[in-house]
Amino acid sequence: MILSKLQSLWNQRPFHENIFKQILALKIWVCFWVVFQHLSVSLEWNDIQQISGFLAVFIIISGLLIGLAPSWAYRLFTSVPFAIAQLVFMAASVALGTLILQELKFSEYLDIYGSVWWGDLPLVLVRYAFAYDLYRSLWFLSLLALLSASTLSVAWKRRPYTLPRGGFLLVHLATSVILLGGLMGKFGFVRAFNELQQNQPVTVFWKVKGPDPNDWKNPFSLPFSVRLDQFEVIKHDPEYRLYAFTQPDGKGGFEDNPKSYDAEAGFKTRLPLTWKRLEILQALPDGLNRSTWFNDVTAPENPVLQVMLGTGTPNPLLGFLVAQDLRTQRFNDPQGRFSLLFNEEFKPRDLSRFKRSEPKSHLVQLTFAGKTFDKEFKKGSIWDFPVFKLKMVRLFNDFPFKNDPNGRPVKVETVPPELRGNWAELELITNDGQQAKILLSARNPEFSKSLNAGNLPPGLSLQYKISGEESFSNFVVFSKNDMKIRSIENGQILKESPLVLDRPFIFKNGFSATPLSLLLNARVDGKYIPNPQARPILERNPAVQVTLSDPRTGKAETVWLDGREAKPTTFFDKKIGLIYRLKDQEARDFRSKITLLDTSGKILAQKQISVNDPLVYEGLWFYQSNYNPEDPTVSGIMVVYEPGLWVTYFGFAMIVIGTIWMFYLKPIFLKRSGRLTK
Amino acid sequence: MMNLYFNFAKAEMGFQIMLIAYLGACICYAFSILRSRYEATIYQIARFLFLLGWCLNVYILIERGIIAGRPPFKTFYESLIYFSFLFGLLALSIEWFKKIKLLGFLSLVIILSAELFALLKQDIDIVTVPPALNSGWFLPHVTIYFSGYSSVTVAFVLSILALIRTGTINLDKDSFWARALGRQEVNFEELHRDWVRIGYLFLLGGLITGGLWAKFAWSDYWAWDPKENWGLISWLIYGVVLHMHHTSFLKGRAVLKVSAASWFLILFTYFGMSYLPTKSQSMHIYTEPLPPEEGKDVKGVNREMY
Repeated sequence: MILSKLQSLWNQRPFHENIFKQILALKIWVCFWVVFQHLSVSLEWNDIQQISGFLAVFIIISGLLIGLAPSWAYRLFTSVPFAIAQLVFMAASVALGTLILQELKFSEYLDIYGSVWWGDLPLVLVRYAFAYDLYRSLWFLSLLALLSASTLSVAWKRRPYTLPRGGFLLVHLATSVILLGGLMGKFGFVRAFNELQQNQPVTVFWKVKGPDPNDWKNPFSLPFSVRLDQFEVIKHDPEYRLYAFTQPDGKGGFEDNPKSYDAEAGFKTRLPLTWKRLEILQALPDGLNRSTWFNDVTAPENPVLQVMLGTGTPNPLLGFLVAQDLRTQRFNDPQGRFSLLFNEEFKPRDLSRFKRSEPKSHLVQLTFAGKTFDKEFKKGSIWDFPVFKLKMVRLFNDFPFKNDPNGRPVKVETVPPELRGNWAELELITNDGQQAKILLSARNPEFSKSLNAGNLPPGLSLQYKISGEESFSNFVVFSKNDMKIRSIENGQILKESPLVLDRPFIFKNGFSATPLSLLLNARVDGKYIPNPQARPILERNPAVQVTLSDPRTGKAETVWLDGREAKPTTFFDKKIGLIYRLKDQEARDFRSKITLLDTSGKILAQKQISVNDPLVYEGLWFYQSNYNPEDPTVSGIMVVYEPGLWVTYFGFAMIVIGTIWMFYLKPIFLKRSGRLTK
Repeated sequence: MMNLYFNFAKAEMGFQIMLIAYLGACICYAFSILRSRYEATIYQIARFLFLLGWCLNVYILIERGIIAGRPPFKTFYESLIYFSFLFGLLALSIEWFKKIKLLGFLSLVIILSAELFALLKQDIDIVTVPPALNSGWFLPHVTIYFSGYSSVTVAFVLSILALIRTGTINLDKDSFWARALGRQEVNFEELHRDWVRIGYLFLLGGLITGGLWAKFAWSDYWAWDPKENWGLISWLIYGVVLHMHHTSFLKGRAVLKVSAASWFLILFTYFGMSYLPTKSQSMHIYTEPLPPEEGKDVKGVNREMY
C-alpha cells in the first residue's frame, strides 16, 4: 500500500519536475566529485590546482550538456522544482557541516565518534567524503556551481528584460556574482599572523589557515615593514555590586542567580522571597581595613592565635594566625629564615612536611602566535615545532652561573634572592642548524626574558614553571590540640615546650615568638575607614557596611563587606548570603598603533587599529588579533588579503536591491505599465 | 515551575507587571473568542492589556539600555525581551488594524513563552560587551535579524491559522470562527505570503549586515560558523517556500506546511546552537557571568551562546 503510493509518487512527474529523482541525481553528482577529489589528492594537487581542475571539468560537462542535450538541460536548469531540490540539498549539506566537527585530525574524530553507536556514519563521511573540511570540499563547491548555473539559466529564460523583471534578474544574477567573488578569493587569498614587539619593524608574517592562528609554516613577506608603536588594553572602570542570595540549596550553597544591587549608602530594600530587610549603612569607594579578631562564644569554632614576633629589630611584629584558613594560618619570614604556623592538630607523621623539598613538577611553557603550549621537563627530550626544536638540557637547584658578566667568580650566597631558586637550561635548534642556549629562572621570568632576548625569535616566549615545592627549612609550629609549640628544622623537632600565653618561645638565633591570646571562637570585628589618600581607580578597595534585619523577630546583623576580598558572608543561620564583588572585568578594547614603512623608512600609512577597526592599505587588511596578558609590549596582528571582496559586496547589494525590487517595486511598475497600455 | 516563581519574584518590577499584563491580555483574548457574553468589552480589555504590556516592554528595554550604556541585547535574557518587543509590535499592529482575535491570542502565547523562557535565563548582571561586539554594526545587525525572526514568526502564526481554518464559515452567525476572526473574512494565505516575503528580506539583510560586520571584526565576511550556517539554512528554506508558489503542484496547503516547518529551523537557529556538536567551534559565543561560589574563583565566567 505505502510502497505503491511511494511508487506512484516517484513516477508521477517527469524528471525536470520530479524533486525525488532530482535529489537522487544530486547525490550521484556529489559522489562524482568526491571521486574526483580523491583522484586529485592521489595526484598530490594543491588547493589551487584542485579548484582549477574542478572548474575545467565543470566547464567540459556544461559544454557536453549544451552540445548533446540542450533542450533537456535548459528545461531542467530553469525548472522551479529543480531550484527547490537544489536549495533543500544545499541546506542539508550545510547542516551536515554543523553536525560534524570541522578540520580535526582523523585520530581526533576517532576519539569523538569511535565509541558511539551512530559514530560510523560521520567517520565514513570524514574518511571518504571530505566531511572534515566540508565547506571547502569539491563536492560542496559542485553544488554551488550548479546553483550558479541554474540561476544564470533562469535569468536568461526571463527575457525580455523589462523594468518589472529587473528585480528577478538582479536576484538571480547576484547568486553567481557572490559565488564569483568567493571563487576569486580562493586564488591568492592570504591570512597571515605575527606577534609584533613594540618598535621592532617586521616584514614577514606567518600564513595561517583559519581565523585562529594555529600553524605558522609558511612565511608571507610584505613589500614594506610593519611597526608596532604602541599597544594598550582599554578596560571598563571596575564596578562593584552587592549580591544577595536568598535560596539556600541545603548543601551549603545558594542559587546561581542572586539579585544584585548598587551599593549606595542609605539604600534599603526587602530581599526577594524572604521577609528580611537589607540596609546599606556606609559605602566607601576606597576603604582601609582596620578589622581585628574577638571571641564570640555563639560563633562556630574558629581558633585564632595572636602572636608577637621578636627578630632583634626594635619593633616586634604583631599578627593573627587563623588555623582554618590555609592562607592566613602561616606567616612566612620575608627573608626566608623561618615560617610560623598555627595548626588545630599536630600529628607526628606531619613532620615530613616541615622540610625543604624540591618541586614536584617542572613545566616548560611556550607562547607563540597567541597560543600557549606546556610540556613537562624531561632531560634530553626534544620538543618539535615546524621551524625549530627545543632540547631540554638540564635543571639547576640554584643560581646556575659560576661567573658574573665580568668573569669574576660568584658566590651563590651573595646572589640576590630573586635570582636564586630553580633554573632550567634548554637549547633552541632552528631548522637552518643554528643552536642557542636558553636559561630560564622559575622565580624571575622577567629576568630570563631579558637574558634570552637575543636568542629567541621575535614573538616567542618561554617560561619555566615549578609547583609543589617547600622553600623553608625552619618552622615554628603552634598546635591547638596538645597546646604545644615546636621548633622544627628539616623534619626534626629541635625544641618543644607547652603553649602558654605571654611566655616567649625562643628559637633559632635568639628569635622569639610569644603567643599573646588564643581565641577559640574567633570572629572578625570588621572596621573600615575611608582612605585619606586618593588612589587610582584600579587600586581602590571599596567596602560597604550592611545591616540585615528580620522585622518579625527584631534580630539584626551588621557586617563590613570587602569588595576586593569578595568573601561570601552568610546571615541568619546560613539562610541568606551576601557578597560584594566586582561585576565583570571584560576589556573594553584592544588598540595597537601601527605604522607601515617602506624600505627607506618613509611612512606609508599609520593608524590606531582596534577590534572592529582594521587598517586597510592597498587591499591588505591589518587586524588587531590578540594580545599577551603577560607582556603589554606585544600585540598580535593579522593581515588579510582577499581578492574578489568587492565583487562579493557588489553581489550583496544586487541581491538586496533585487529582492526589494521583486517584492515591492515590481507591483508599482506593473501598475504603471498597465495604465500606460490602457 | 518553582524556578519560574523564584525568578519572577526576583525580576524587576517593570518585568513583573509586563508579564501580568501579557498574561491578562492572553486570557481575555481567549475569553472573548470562546464566549459571546461581554465579548466586545472583554476584547477591548484584551487589546488594552496587550498595549500596556508592550509599552512596559519598551520601557524595560530603554531602561536597560540606559543603565548598560549599550543596545540591550547582549544576553539571552535581553535578546528574548527584545524579540518579544519586536514581535509584539508586529502582532499588535496587525491585530489593531485587522481585528483578528485569534491572531492576537496566538501571538501572546508566543510572547509569553519567550518571556517565561527569558525568566529561566534571567541574568544577574547587566554585563559589559566584549570588544568584538562594541561596534556600530551591533544595533543594525541584531535589529534587522530580529525583525526577520519576528516577521517569520508572524508568518508562522498566519500559516497555522490558514491551516486550521478550512472551508467557509457563516460570519453572521455567532460561532467560534466568527468570533475568532472578528466577524470578517480574512485571506490568511495571502497575508502569510506577504509576511514570508518581509521575513525573507530581513533575514537576508541580517546575513549581509552580519557579513559586513564580520569582515571588520573577524576578517571574514563568511566563516562557516554554525550560527551563520543555520541562518543560511533557514534563509534557504524560506527561499524554497517562496519558490513553491511558482509550481503547479506544490501550491496551496503544501506551502503553508513547509512554511510552518521552516519556523522551527528559525527556532533552532535561535535556541539550538548549544546542542550542536560543533558549538565549541562557534564564534557566536556570549558570556554570562557565573555566580560566586565558596572557594571558587568569583571572577569565573560561563560561556553560553544565544
